[in-house]
Amino acid sequence: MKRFADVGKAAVTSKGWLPAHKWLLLRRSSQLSILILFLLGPWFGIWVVKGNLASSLTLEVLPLSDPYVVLQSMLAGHLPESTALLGAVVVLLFYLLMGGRAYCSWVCPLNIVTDTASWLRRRIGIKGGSRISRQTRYWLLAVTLLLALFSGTIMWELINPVSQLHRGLLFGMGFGWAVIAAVFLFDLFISRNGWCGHLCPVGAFYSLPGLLSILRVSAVSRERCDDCMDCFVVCPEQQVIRPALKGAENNIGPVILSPNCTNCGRCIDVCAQNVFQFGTRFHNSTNSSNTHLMVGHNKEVIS
Amino acid sequence: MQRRTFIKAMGAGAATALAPTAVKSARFRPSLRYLRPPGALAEEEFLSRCIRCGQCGEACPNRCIKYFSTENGVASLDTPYIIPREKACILCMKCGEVCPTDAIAAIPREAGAIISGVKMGMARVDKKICLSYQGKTCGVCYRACPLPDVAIRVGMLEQPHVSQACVGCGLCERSCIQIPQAIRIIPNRKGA
Repeated sequence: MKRFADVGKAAVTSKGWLPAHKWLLLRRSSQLSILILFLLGPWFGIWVVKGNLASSLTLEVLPLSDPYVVLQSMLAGHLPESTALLGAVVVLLFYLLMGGRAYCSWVCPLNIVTDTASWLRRRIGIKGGSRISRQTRYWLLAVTLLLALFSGTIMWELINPVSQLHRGLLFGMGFGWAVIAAVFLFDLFISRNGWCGHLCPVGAFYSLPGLLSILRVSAVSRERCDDCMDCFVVCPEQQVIRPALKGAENNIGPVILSPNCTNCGRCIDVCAQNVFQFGTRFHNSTNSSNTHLMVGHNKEVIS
Repeated sequence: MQRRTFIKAMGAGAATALAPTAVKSARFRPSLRYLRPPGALAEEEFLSRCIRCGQCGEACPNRCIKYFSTENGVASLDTPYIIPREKACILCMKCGEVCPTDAIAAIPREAGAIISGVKMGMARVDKKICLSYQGKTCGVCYRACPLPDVAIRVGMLEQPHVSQACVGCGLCERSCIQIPQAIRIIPNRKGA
């Protein structure tokens, strides 16, 4: 594997710094603006959004609820108010459109923590670590749902690091710091992308609408790939790239269909050859001459 | 080896946090006298329904709703509570209106509905501390009460008498001029 400093260098040289960090910057601004929207009320008395990621009301009209929390609550034997249910449906529809785990990379506050751990890990060259199956998260998801079913409370949400961080910023962080620090250290020293990529049941839940979601990353121009491996180095879910990028000889289309792709777009950023771009799951013909059909962001790639 | 120890420690930590018995034992701390927001269901049901979205506290115009950290046990983490002596409930009923899970029931802001639907607790007068019972006419609690002559009646020297209609909003306790306060809310955790 390359030295840390060289990853993405070719993209910066060929495209310029800003285009080579476009999606990363957009993603960080999305995460931060969502956080700021929630904090504006309690901190400055500007009430755009009331509530938190579990359930909220935007501008007094738009209800949004976390469908995972609502599901746990329903398994615990409670039917939420119709506005909360409606909010969960709105959120589900949104992620069916934008990619299930877009939640993870564009909304989740913990993503900034784990991305920092992942970056630091590459920076100081920590290699190896434990091999946890990426399926573990689905077992944990099942465990959290069973917990709700048998305890009659949303027990997982009390310790869920994602909820803890978000609520901690709003309500004041108690022992939440310890949980967040544990996730950070786990990702840094023990397992690469250990939390988000292997354990997190929230991500596992959001990967389920991702099975059908429309917006996807596609290796449209995969014949241009020069095997520099930069996308594999930066991708938090490396296993999702290969089938699409190297699938030409196996007659597999260029769209990354794995529900665990978080649509973070970092592969698009770091690719000097402009292999990747956002598109829909439907433009997945193996014939690469169909690139003109893509809903492209990179006009020069298409022409 | 280090990894194994860490994972073991994580597992042990998670198990401790999750064990329902541990949660139950940590649920009740008798020394902590707090109220749930008006219309809150019985404690067990309330904890099970509340999704910790924090909308009640943000809707509260009086800013009397606060949120637990771990001081009342993990089960109460991030749930709303009121310490009446610090800031009492003004019975605006906005929290129940915004609660997305009905952990706090929506109750209309009318005296009748509030008296029958809200039971945060009940005021109790300590006659040994109360000024009026010491012969110095006071009556501050009576004037602070949102349900005067219904929840609190006053007798000679404005000595307060609390009736069963008291909903436990805590405005009397908040306003009591004695230190320590001569009237305090005994919380009710059984719902209305």
